[in-house]
Amino acid sequence: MSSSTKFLTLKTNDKEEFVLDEAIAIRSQTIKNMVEDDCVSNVIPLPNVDSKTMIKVIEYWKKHSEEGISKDKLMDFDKAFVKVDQSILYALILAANFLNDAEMLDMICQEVANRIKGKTPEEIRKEFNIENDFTPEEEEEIRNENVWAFE
Amino acid sequence: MFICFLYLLALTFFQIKSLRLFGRKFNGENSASSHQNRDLINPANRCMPTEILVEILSRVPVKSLLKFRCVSKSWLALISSPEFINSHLSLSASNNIQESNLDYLMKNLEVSFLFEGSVNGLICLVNRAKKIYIWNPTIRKYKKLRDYKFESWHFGRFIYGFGYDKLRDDYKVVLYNFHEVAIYSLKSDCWRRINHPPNGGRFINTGKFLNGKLYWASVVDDVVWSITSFDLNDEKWRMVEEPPCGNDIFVLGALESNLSIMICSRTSNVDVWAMKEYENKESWTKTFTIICSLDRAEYFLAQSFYLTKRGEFFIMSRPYHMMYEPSDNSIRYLDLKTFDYDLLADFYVQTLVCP
Repeated sequence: MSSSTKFLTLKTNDKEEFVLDEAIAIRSQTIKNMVEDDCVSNVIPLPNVDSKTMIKVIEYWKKHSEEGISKDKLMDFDKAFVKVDQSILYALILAANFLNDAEMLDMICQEVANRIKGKTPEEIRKEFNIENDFTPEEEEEIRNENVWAFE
Repeated sequence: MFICFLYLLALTFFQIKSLRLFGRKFNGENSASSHQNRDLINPANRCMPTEILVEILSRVPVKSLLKFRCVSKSWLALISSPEFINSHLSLSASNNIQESNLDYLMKNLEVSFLFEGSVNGLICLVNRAKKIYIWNPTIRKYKKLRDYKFESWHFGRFIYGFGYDKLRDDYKVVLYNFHEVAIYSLKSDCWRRINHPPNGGRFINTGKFLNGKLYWASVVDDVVWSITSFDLNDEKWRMVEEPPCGNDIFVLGALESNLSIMICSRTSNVDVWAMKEYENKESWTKTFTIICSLDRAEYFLAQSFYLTKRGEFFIMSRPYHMMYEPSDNSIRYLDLKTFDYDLLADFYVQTLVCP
C-alpha cells in the first residue's frame, strides 16, 4: 500500500515546505480540486497560510485521518485543539476557509461563537477592533428595541 | 427537519396574566427591517471576510445577536439582512443545542391563546376572539393578522394550519371552516378565499406542517376517515393514501420528519404508522403498538403526538398526557392539569425570522 502513497509538497507564505500524504492533504477541497484538475506541479503554494498555522492544520488533518480512531477520542482532540489563543483561532479560520475544509471551519467558528456569545457590545468592539460608528442617541435607540436582551 | 429541543408550548387557552407584554415589550413589528441596508462592509478589521463573520455569527444564539446589533452600523446591517437571517435559521434548525425558556410569555399574558403550530421559530396563535397572531418569541416580535372577511356569516369551528412556502419564502396560514376556506400570505399581508378540499370531509384538528405541506385528518359523514394535504406552494389539495390500518379516528403527527398517524384499534391498543418515504403509499410502516387503556373518549380528544429528542413517544390527550418508551414498552402519565383545555406541542427553534 505504501508503494502507491503519493506525496504533495505544500508551501506556505513564509516559504516553509510541508510534505504530506495526498490522501490526507485532500481533506482540503481546494487541494483536492487542484489534484483532480491535474494542475498540481511539484509544489502547491498556499499564499494565505503561514507555517505556524499550517502545523496546526496538519496536526488536525492527521488526527482526523487516523484509522479506527474512536469518536470520543476525536472529540477530546477537538476540544483540546481549539483551546488556543484567539489570534491562532482567527488564523485557523482563515486557513480553513482558504483550504475549504468545511468540517474544520465549522468547528472553529463554533468555538469563536461560544467565546463571544456572552460578551457585551463594548467587548465585541474591542475583540474585533471595531469602531463604534453610532451616535449615542442611535445606539440608545437600538438598545431600547431589545432592552430585555441586555438583562 | 426541525429536530430541535422539544418545546412543550403550553398551548391551548392557558390563563396568563397581563396583556402588557404585547403593548409594552413588543416594540412594533418592523423595527428590525427599518435598519436594513445592504452595505455589508467588512465589520472586522482583522482581515475577517464578511463571509467568515457570517459563519461565526450564524452560530451565536439570538439573544446575543440582538445585543450585537449595536456593535456598529455594519454589524446591525449584517444581522438584520435576510441573507444572514436565513443562514442563521438553517444552522439553528440543524443544531439541537438551544433550549428555550418562554416562561415570560406565561407570566405576562392575560389573554388566552390557542397554539396553532410553529415553523422556523415563528409561532401561530389564535385568541378567543379568533384574532390570529404570528409571533417570534425569541426576538419578541409579533404581527396581528388582518381579519378574514367571510363572505357570509358562518357558525362552526375554525380549524387552522400554519406553514412555510420555501419556494416563495412566505409564511402562510390556512383558515378552514366547513363553509369557507381561506389562505393568508405573510408576504402580501392578505387573505384569499380558496376551494374546499375535494372530498367534502370535515377537518378535526390543527393542520400538521411537514415537507412544505399541511396535513389534516378529515372525516366524511362522521365515519369515513382520510388524510388530506394542502401544498403551500401550488395551493392544491390532494388526498394522501392511508396505511392498511382500518378506518377509525385518525390522529396525525410527525415522527422525525415523516407524516405519521395514530389509530386506536378495536382491541383498544394504539397503533402508530409512519410514512417513511415522502407520499409513497408503500412506505407506510407500523412503527409501534402501544398496549394501553386509553379509552375512546380520551383517544378522541388526542390532539397530536411527537417523538421527543430522547426517542420517547408523547401523546397529548385529556386528562393526562402519555409518555411511551418504545425500548421497554413502559408508559408514564404526565399530569398537566394546570392547563384546563387541550394542549398541543411542536418543535421550536430560535431564529431571527421577523413576522
